Amino acid sequence: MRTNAEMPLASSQFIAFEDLLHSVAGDVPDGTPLLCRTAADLAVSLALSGTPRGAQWYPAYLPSGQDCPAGAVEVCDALLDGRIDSGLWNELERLWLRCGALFGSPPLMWWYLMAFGAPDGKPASPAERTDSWVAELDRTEPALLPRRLAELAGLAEPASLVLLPEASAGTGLLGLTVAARYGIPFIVRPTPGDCVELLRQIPDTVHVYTTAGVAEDAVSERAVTVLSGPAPQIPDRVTADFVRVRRPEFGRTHAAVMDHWTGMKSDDREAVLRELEEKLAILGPVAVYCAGNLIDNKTGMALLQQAFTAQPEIWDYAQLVFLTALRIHQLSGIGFTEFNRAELTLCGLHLFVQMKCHTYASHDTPPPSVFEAAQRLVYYRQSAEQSHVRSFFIDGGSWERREFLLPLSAVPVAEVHKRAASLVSQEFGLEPGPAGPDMWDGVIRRLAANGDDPANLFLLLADNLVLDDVLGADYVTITVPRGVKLDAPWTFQHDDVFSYTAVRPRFDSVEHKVRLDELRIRNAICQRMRYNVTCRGKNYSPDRAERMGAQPFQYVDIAYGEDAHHSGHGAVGIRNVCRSAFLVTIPDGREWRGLGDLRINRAMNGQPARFGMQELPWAVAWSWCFKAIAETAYRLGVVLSGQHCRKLTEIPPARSAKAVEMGRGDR
Amino acid sequence: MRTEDKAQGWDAGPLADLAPGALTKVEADGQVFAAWRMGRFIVAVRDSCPHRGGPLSQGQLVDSRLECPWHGATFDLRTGGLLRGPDCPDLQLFVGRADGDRVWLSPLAPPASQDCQGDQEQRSR
Repeated sequence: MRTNAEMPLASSQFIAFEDLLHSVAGDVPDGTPLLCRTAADLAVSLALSGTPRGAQWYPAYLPSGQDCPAGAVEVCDALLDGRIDSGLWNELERLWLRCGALFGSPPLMWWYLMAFGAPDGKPASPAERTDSWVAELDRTEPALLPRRLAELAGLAEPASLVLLPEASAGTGLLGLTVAARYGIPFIVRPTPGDCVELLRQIPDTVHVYTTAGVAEDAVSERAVTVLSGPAPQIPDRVTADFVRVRRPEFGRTHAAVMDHWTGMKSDDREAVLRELEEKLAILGPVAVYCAGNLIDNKTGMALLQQAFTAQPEIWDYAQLVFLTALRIHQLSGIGFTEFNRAELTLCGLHLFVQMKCHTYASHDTPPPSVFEAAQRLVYYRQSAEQSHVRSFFIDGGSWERREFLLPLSAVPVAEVHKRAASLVSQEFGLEPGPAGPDMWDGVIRRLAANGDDPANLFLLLADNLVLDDVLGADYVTITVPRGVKLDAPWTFQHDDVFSYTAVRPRFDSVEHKVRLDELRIRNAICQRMRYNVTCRGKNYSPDRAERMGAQPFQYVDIAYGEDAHHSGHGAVGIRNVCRSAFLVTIPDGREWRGLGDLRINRAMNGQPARFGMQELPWAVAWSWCFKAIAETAYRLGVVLSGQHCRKLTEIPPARSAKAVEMGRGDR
Repeated sequence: MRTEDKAQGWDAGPLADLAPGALTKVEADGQVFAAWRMGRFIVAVRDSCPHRGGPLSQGQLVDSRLECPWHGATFDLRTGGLLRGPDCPDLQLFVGRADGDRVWLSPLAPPASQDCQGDQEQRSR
């Protein structure tokens, strides 16, 4: 940490968390210091202190390991002995999580407005008020910001304020503490340069609390207090993304959204709403918050249907936000369930879309409206997919979904094909030639010439994959079209789809609390996969009604808690899964999505059984190996035998030499 | 099952068995609890997640947040409140009191409860 002596500022002083902690009794005679050990506790405590029921508390951060000073109270103690209303605390804690769901943690300025903005008698929800204020402050002349912010927070004309760049997340909480403690405005600007610019416009008589970086660059001789650590660190999930992103013009967001909806002719708007209705009908579980209310598929549909008979000008805020989120999903292809568990606001949606643009394309030029940004996203994504695999983390318990990009260069295609070639050589006595996707042509030709079923390639590789040390799987399921009706996948029946599940030898259903035995596990999974393929094939149906009823496509994903809401998954032990859906290219060059995938499952719950980035590239590489085999078979006109296109009556012998050793080959 | 003293609550065993800051599985009144000793307080919850009965004593505890090992329902152990994960009721908190070398559990008034929303529609996976 820098010292005062190192700072080249004539009139600066420092304020640290320790100062706040120890000076509190003097500053606020009747208050009680409330000591927080984590960033979330501090953020929630600050919001609590902004409420009438929590006004007696003066929160400060206390690093773990430090003893609680006399006269101060720890959050834990205050909650457990009832001095803090646990219901109110829960409400604020959930709000903090919901406001940060899209960003890792909420932008602190937004949280300040949420917590300290005076409601001025309007019935709006905190989210709606904050949304409106974020936009208004964005439109405000920088020199007038302190005064306007003070008005919004119900404060007097500010003689001092806190001014911070967005990137200083930990110091930001220190700044927020100072603002709350002294009842002064809290201003966050996107960059240190923006802060310096603002400093130049604020009268020298206003005392400013800021970071060392901003203070060093400020040219004025004003009185500046530098905020210094230790500061609580906000867990960094995607926060880094949102602080790097150049801010959209929030001041225009609301008007642009309204213009978008009101600018449509009635018929056009009705057509758009009709399309959104169809989309919502097939969306995965929706669980978003609008104006503080949980919106699921059913309530969302009710909001949507009300919009048919009302002009956008009279839509309520929750309706406007929900429909705008749906429209963004429609225009951009953002998975709607990525919004799950988030408190949605118009500015929040705008920032999220901007973050996505940045993630895909590293572009730093915010388009003027959220809808234009959403439309550009489609092209940015296509570009990103040239070098990355679009992938998701899925929390099956909360329905949360987070996108990430897996670099193609991380997928070990060559290594997997080498292993596959070695297995083929051992099992069939064939020499596949140079390992790679092209080797399957010769392999399948020779198998077919020998009267051997090429489907056995899938069995061989799946039976070995379930023993793979990297994947540590209990089940491996490979699903591809059998090789018939390839030009009309919407006509697929179950027996047109090959699906095979390999189960780890000596897998103990009872130990894993799986109700079904091995044969029924295999049949339940494979029948479901065949059903899924028949439903996804309908996405290509010439019949619009059939397309509308089709199952949505899937991406590569890592999912946990998959049995949280799904009784079928519970019965067969689908719990932690790594899935790699792949395109299937048919001989005429057309590519079908939704027809092929590889699924790796661990039948255990819990953190240690979750898949991660160490396994995903491996699973994707194997799925591409299966894809190459299937597409080669289609090109050669080879149809997979029907044995694994219907329910099994007995467990087939294992194709893996190791599995045979482990007792799976002698059934 | 340990002895019960209605005046004191349920005997949950020796205080020395509860490591500070960690979760410990204890039995009291014929029920299994996950107990958490934090500073001068001891808090316990039934060792069964209100979502699907996951063993909370085997969950992951980060600061005061306990995540069920089965489906990730995450609760604040200082309030019992559900923070994230599948919709389910809040946890009923039991407060532990040390008397000599033993711990006695008794129920705390339930927190302001969030109604169970129940399982939503199944996903087509």
